[in-house]
Amino acid sequence: MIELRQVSKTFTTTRGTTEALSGISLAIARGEFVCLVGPSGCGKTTLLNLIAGLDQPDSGEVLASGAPITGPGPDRGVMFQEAALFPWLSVEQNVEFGLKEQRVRRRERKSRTRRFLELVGMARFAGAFVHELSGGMRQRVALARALALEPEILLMDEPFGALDARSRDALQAQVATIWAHTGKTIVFVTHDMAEAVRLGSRVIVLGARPARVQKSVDLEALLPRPRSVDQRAVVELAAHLKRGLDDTDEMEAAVDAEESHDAGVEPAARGDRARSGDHRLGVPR
Amino acid sequence: MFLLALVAAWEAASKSGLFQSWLVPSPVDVARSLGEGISNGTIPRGILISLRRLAIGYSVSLFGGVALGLGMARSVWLKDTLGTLVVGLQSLPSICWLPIALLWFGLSESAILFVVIAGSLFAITVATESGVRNVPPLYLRAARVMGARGPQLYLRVLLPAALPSILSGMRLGWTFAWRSLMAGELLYASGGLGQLLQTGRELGDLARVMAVMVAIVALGLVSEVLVFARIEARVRERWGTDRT
Repeated sequence: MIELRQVSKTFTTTRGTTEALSGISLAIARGEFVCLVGPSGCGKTTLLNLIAGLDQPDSGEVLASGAPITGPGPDRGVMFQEAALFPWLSVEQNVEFGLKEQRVRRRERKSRTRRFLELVGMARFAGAFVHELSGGMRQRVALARALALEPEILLMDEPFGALDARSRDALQAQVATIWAHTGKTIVFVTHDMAEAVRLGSRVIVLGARPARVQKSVDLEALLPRPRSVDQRAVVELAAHLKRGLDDTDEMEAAVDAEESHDAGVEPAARGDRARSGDHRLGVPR
Repeated sequence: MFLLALVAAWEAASKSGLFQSWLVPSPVDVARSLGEGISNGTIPRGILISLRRLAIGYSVSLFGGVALGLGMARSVWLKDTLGTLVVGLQSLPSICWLPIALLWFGLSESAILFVVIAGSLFAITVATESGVRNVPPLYLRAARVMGARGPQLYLRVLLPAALPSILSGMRLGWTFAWRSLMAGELLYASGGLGQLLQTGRELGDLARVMAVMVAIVALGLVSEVLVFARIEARVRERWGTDRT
């Protein structure tokens, strides 16, 4: 579905050059919910921007469904850290924006807008302006806006990072439900390990800049759904994965998802036997 | 209330005999002159002629200024070539364009339109440019991932996002256009309110001069209250930026 092959990206600013990505390879299969976790500034947002088509790699290839990504497209919906709603439009008009760009007919547009606003519980606020909404409500609208284009792939860049705990929890539950019902492919960037473990069908841990894949852990068999961030298994697995991040000796290690899953041991005990593995993990589903 | 007190003080001053009556006409004289001007059609005709010039000149400035500002904000080439020029010309008092206008167009309608356009175009350009430049890049990225490209990006994202700034430029441009027009009309043009002022002066009829001034102020207030204040209130409501 999504494939990165030896992708490198360097940014040049007045303060010098920054190597955000250096020869990273990654494959994400259709229907996966992949959470990319890493320290801030590790290049995970860059990675997402490349998949979104907002940026082009310096070298290497980024493919969606086998074709190189040359720019943004309606097959890939994006949610940013900030809602990025347009203040000159009402809630409803914001959701309709992309549909108009895609030349969806008026009736279809209205009914889709209605449907997705209902889905995120914002139908009552269709006529409201952006400044009248709380942060959580804005992200709900942003989610509806991304979903309204019915993309196969949903790219999310720390969308709930700035929200209070309650809104975050509600929105996480919502996204998990949407994934379960629609089978969309989701790539979710976060620096919050617990969030990643709660949501993802697979968690990819990235190391510091330039981003490299340190671990790729398949969670679907380990943790039943629905999950919550304060669930014991989630907390323990998150703590364990985090430990790997801090420990430089383990920096190069990658957990082989298949192995740990077959062994069926407690998540907390597993990483110690981690071995350097193939970073280009396919999809064991 | 304040205005009434002011008029009363004015009346008292003109009646007090401290000033010669032809230098300080009483408000009653001014009102009479205004009524006369309106009933014999000179003031309405002047208003129509002036407003027509203003409408044409300002429309050109508005579209030209917004287009130029948008271009300068988005194209490094335009910014490098026209940027300094526009800022420089903007600081030029509009009446300085009059000699050029007269030489190029003669004593014609085109000359006065030229002055009006030259006087207001650059204010709108500069405001549009800074407005567009300050549009958060996030809006553009959000629009692009939803499929907006090219002209759509300009019309549906950049312009509305820059609207608050463009609006203040429009307001400034309107004032500049008005002033340039009056200056131009005072100096030479036929018809229009500016010329009425000039004939009032030539006749030494100060009440008439003041009557025309009242008409000009009234027009300014009407355009402010009926047009700009309304648009701005709407924008404020949408964006949630309150008068503080």
